[in-house]
Amino acid sequence: MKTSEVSSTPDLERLLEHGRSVRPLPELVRARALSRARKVARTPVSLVPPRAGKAAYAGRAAMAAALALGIVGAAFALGQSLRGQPAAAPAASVVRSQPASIAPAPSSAPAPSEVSPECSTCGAERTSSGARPAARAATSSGNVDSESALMRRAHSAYAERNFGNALRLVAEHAKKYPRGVLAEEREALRVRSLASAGQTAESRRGAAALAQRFPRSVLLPRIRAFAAPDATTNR
Amino acid sequence: MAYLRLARSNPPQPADEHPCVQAFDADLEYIFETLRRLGARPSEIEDLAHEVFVVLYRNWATIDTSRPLRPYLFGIAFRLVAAHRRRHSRETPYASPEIEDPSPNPERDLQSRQSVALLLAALECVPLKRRAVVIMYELDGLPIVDIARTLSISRFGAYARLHKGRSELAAAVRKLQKNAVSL
Repeated sequence: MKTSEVSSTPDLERLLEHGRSVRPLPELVRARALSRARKVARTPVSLVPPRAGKAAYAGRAAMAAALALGIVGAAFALGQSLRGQPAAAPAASVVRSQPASIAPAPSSAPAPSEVSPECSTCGAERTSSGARPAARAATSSGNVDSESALMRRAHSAYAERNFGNALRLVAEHAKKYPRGVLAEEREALRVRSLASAGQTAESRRGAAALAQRFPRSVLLPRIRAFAAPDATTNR
Repeated sequence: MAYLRLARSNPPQPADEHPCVQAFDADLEYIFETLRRLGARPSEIEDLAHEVFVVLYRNWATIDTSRPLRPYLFGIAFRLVAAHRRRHSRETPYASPEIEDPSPNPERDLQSRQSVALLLAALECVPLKRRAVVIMYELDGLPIVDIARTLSISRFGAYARLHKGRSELAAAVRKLQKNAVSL
């Protein structure tokens, strides 16, 4: 195809002739552009390798999949350790069930040296890092039911507007399980019971203590509303 | 000592200038002009030129420097402008005043400036894909083979775009001239 024959008008040719010239740049603009370019060239930028096509995308997808698997595995292991059950390596569970820092090891418990050599390091690591969850599991797994039963009774007493009994049960819970799983709910119930019983100053102090101990508690807004001086509608 | 003040000193050049910066420096006017022809706004041209350099610098190791660099630079500029227009069409930025270089330039005569302004306005009426072919063929003087390779299209496709682009450009010029006369 002869392109010169296409739509060639004198006006267009004249315009194109003018348009072929490249205008010189102002010195300031040139200096600015070069300065920015030199800054980029000085910075150690990771130069992009030649395009690998689909292989690059496959590599990225594999990395993303490995990362996702790692996250899921870590979450699973964390969940297992919080429940006090070993995620893997049954040999290490022997060490975890009787941590030396919590209770003296009975004669039947195997010493760390009895752990198989391939698991001795992981067993030792888990003993140090997993002592707290294991102890927590040992102390709390059987107590959660009784703890929640006690709190249910306290809630029932509060619902029956028997605030004295509710406060008594809450105090009993605090004595038995000072750092129990339901400590946050217990303190909230204490504030509500105190406020409902007319002990406003006490309820405010309780609300402040709750806010200090559980600053991110979802119960805080409602508890603050209860402890407020003019809060009567919530009771 | 007045003669010393009149002597223009060369801009300082770093001793170990990266070859990519040197190439960018050599074709800086061409990059700015190409971006202008492709329809970039005056306020965006500097940033787009910098993006051209960033792309050039990152791919410098893979570039065959024995071949002319301008078609490659045009390809980068074309893709950047196209991406910028796509992004710009989704966003609704605040209107910013277009800042033209106000410094007097005796080299530009009035007729030339008017002609270039008319040509740029007419190019604006041509869709970007066809405009790129028209610019490369008519203004840059590149052979159609290089144009097809730069834009990753077939030679037939390049000819087709050139044919239609020229028709649209001529129609746009006629329309703009007609409007100018009627005003």
